[in-house]
Amino acid sequence: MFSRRIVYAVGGFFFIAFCIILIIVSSRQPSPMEKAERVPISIIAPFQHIVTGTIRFAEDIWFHYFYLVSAAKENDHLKKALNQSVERHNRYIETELTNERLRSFLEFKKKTTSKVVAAEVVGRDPSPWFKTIIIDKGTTDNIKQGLPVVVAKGVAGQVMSVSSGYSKVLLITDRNSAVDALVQRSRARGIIKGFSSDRCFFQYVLRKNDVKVGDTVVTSGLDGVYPKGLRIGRVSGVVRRNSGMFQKVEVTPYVDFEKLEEVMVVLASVEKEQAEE
Amino acid sequence: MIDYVLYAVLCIGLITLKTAVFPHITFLENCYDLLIPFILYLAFSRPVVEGIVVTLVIAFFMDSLTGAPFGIFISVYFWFFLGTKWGMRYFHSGTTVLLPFVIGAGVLLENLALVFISAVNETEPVFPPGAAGLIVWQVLWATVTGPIIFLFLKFIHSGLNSRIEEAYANRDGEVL
Repeated sequence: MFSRRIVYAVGGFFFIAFCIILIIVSSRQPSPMEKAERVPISIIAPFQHIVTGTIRFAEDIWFHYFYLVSAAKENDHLKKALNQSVERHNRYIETELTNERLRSFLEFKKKTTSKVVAAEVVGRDPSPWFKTIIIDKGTTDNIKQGLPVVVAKGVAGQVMSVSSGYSKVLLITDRNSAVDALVQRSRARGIIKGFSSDRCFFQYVLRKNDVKVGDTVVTSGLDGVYPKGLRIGRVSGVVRRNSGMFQKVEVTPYVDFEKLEEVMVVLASVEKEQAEE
Repeated sequence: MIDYVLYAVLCIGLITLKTAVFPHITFLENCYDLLIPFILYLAFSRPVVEGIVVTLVIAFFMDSLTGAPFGIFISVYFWFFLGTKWGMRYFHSGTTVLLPFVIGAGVLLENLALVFISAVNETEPVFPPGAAGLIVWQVLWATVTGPIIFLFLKFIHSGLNSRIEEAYANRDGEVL
């Protein structure tokens, strides 16, 4: 009835339309393809896990046994201690600022009442233009879509999709990521948007607000995803144009995303769980 | 059937190499997509229907693993596959002379699509810093090493097929 050429042309047209609709629909968050994505993650991630584990094991042998045995161990220990000190110091600053503003938090509880699950990074995004990682914890460890992911130095990202044993995490340096944030010193508010592997932009900060190079940017807690007061990065550049409502602020994240090996997924806080129950 | 098992093993192997091994090696961190030579191999050496099915399954895997909007790899791989099939009619390229250029073009097409998608989602479209340099590096790297991967895939597949045929021939001989 129809020639082969017409069938190919119509088929091609419908496929183009299908691809465009698919891309537009899946650009929205949460992605409607989230459930379908679980299957490939469940298949590929165990292989990534085995390979990453083998590489880390080989690296460990090389660095800890054959190459500067004691120095490497001491270095690891000092790095851990330094990370803990930095985090503790940051918590002190946050507490001090909170007290200065005379907030009467009679039932103030530490942010650390949240439960966390430690996870290992087993794979990275196959494309250099997008910043996601695969971690070795999934629904069996109570991980859910949208949970925040942190490390000792600061915020890492947010769980994007979950399979039974593995999850995909969107890093804050990805262009699709957005985190509601504050400048720790002046409390100027804005949105942290990812830009490149070592840079983010602090958008929608009013021009009148006081932001200086070197300021620390922390999560505001207003986005309902990240707990309040977690460190994000340091302001590395400020441009105030003569016109416009906002200033352009560049932020360098505290987390080194190229060397990310272990992360912590913050499960719902104890209070939130009790409220839900 | 054995062909599809081989495709699955190669696909998982290449994706694992790119996402779990290369990030540990500094100069390979931003390596090009190793599945491009694989798609090219399917377009050059396999029947259309088989090639399309395998290409779409691989693209589905890649779309699930990346942070890019779902469907981008399906579009890129599918059009690269069809474009190569169509181009083969005119260039009579059963030879390996054109391989570096076709692989380079595939990597270029993929990168341009991904950069465009990542930039167009923004309120203020800005291309990622160092995008041009990275794309040039990937294309050059692909033109040099891509044909080696292609020939390796061809060698593995033909070697496996000849062994299977040999095994069947021996079994038939024993039965007779």
